Amino acid sequence: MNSEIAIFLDHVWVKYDHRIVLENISLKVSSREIVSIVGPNGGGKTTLLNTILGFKEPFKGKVSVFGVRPQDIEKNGMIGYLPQTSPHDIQFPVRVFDVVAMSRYGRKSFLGRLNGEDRDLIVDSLKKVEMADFQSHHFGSLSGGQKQRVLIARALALRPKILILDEPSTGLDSVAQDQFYQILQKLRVDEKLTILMVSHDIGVVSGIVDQIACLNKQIHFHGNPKEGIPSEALIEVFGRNVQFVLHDKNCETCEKGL
Amino acid sequence: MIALFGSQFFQNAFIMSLLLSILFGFFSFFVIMRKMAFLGAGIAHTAFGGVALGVLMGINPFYSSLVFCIVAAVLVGKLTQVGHVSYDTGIGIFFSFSMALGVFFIALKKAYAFDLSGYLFGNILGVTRFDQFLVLIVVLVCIPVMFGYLHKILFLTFDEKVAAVSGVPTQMLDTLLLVTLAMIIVISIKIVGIILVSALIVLPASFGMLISKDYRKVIGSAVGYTLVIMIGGLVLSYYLDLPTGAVIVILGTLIYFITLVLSKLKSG
Ligand SMILES: Nc1ncnc2c1ncn2[C@@H]1O[C@H](COP(=O)(O)OP(=O)(O)O)[C@@H](O)[C@H]1O
Ligand SMILES: [Mg+2]
Repeated sequence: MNSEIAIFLDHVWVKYDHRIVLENISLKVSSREIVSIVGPNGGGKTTLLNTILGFKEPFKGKVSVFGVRPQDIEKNGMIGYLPQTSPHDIQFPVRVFDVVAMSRYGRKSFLGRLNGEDRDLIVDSLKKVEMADFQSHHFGSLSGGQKQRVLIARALALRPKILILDEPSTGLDSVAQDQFYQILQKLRVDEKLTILMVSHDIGVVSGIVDQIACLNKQIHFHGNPKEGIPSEALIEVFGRNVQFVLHDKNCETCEKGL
Repeated sequence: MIALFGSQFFQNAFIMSLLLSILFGFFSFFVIMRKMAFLGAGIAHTAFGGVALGVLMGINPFYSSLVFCIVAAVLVGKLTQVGHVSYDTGIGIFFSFSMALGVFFIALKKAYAFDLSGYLFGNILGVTRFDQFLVLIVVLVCIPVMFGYLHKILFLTFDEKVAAVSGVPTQMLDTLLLVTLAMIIVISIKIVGIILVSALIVLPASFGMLISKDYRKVIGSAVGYTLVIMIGGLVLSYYLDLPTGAVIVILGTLIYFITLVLSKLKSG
């Protein structure tokens, strides 16, 4: 397998004001791997993604994405990103096609318009998430799972090398969740994508990822979940409610505070 | 009607309204979608301090209010980025500070009889060739900018973080939006006045949203609506001999509510 390093964090420390949120984080994600970061709310998962995306700068340590500093990645569109809470107003007057088209417009020059190739890419991206039939639907009228898939299509329309997803399955029912994860697995193979996904649902995620990193300020465990995660690490990260996290797929207490 | 169009001041105001409608229709959409309606009111009120300063120093109040508003718009943007304050709070601070400065400046210039109500409520009789020329310049600058960046601004408005990761220069566009908004507001104060200009920021896109769920049509109908209310208001106010700004806003509000009722009836 290709062992090129997609994401590399080398002893990274991050703070907000004077509070340290990420402590000595080292993480290596190889190209075409699918990796999940799990941890409790407030554990620093979103902050870690913000650091990789260049929104937040560490005060110590180094971050690189395919060898490039995060501050420079914005320009080349190699990262497709799905933020945690989609802030979209359901009234926002855009069709599904328009939402995916945004990615293409983002990379156009001043006055740039879509060409045939862009349109094909947009429709193609929608097909990959099984949403091509909804092209002219109003985005706000879709279900949560459908919206998430459209937003994945928008990320794919960038032709990214990496997908970064922040709790993409939150708020989806279990059928929509299963469908979503199936699509991700397929994309990973077909599109040769590296996927970094935040989740607080170890149970579901364990079955599909190559690596899992348990994060609560520090990374307490980092490895292949199929080989077993030491229970001390889980308790360190999740506290005593760890049983909930592991067994109850639709655990409501895990969602608290979101 | 012939007499009406024959008069110079009316021609000036007519052309100005025509040009401004396009800008208001467009910007209204982004202001509404970004939930910055209060920003329009804030910038307009900030203009008051600038107007008073111009009067005090004996320079054209247009220039001083333009500088005031652009500086305020940019500072509000910076304050929200750096100081973790919301737009509303940032604007609230500037808005009242600038109004207070305005009152202060006017008090300093004791002996001056100053057409306060003209600035507060608009006075199309005060529209000059020079104003018209300024509007033309602003329009010539803003229209290519808005069409050139339409989709990038749409992306930014829809989802700022993702837009940034996807190659949209979000901070530059943010500032650009604020500065253009400030310019448009300042140049339209002559017609509608400081108090009423915020209606032109809020109403057009709100109307457009009743018409369609496709942003192209929303923007298009917002522009059409603004044209109708500005030109309609201008003509009506001439015949009824009433303040133009007030007539425009009343007409606009009536059309908005009638359309709202009709669209509710239609959708059952
Ligand atoms: N913009 C911010 N300013 C200050 N503190 C923040 C900010 N964003 C996150 N934090 C703090 O950093 C910690 C980690 O948050 P976050 O990365 O969002 O956790 P998670 O995504 O794992 O729930 C939390 O304590 C949170 O309060
Ligand atoms: Mg988070």
